[in-house]
Amino acid sequence: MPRKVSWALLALTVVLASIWHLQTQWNYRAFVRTAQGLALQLAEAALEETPERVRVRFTLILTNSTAHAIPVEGASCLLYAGQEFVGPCVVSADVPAVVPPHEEWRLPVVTEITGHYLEMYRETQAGGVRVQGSVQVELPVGGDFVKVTRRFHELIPKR
Amino acid sequence: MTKQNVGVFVVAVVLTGLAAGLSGATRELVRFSPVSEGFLVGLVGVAGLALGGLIRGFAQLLAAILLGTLLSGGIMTGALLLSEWGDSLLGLEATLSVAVSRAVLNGFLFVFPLTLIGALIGRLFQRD
Repeated sequence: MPRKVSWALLALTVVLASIWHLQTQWNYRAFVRTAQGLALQLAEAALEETPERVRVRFTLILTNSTAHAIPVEGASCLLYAGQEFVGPCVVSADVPAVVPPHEEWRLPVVTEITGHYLEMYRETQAGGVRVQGSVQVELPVGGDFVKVTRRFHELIPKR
Repeated sequence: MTKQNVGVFVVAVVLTGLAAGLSGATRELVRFSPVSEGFLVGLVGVAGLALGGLIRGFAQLLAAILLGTLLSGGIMTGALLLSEWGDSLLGLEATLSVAVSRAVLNGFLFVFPLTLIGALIGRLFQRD
């Protein structure tokens, strides 16, 4: 292989690597900007306790401030009293869903802690229930979508 | 080594380090890349091939590959830091530590073996 060909090959690799890397950085920055336009918050949280049962109620709100429609793939969460697991959440809305641009998506969650979990809850004598979970969304990158998980956690105190 | 050979050595190492470093950083963000990982692997291999065609002597070639790997590690660290600049929730120290560890891993598991294989093939075609 003549030396000129080697130099040309080396120069070509640098040019291609630079172009591809710049495009990658650009796509990544766009992805980060989109991700920053999504806000996840917990509202209307309440812990209703009676001698027979404990009901945990809250609404997850995903606010989409981006110009893209954001598909929501799923949502899940777990409940804890102190360090003890006291059951999974019951998600009472249809997922998957799509959050239109500049709109919000509300996911009501109502879960009753019963049976063995109720005993655990009483034993811990915790001041509330800790909710820990995630929402899986798809963010647009170029012509494609990348799956992203947004986590949340919140302590719902006793009334 | 003559003065001219030193010049060839330095320029070849810098260009190889640049190509390998940028490819390694792109590989770390491959989900956002316009090309698949195979293209990036091929690119580093071709850079090694060209290096093998330019550097005389096996010891010099090995030194050039090692220096190119080190330089690519620095470039990868810089490029990965740049991608996280201002957006990372980890803080600068943790971001730097993640960038350095990724660069070291990529340097030794991706850049070094590929440039070595490419350079050994390149040596077979070495001609003046």
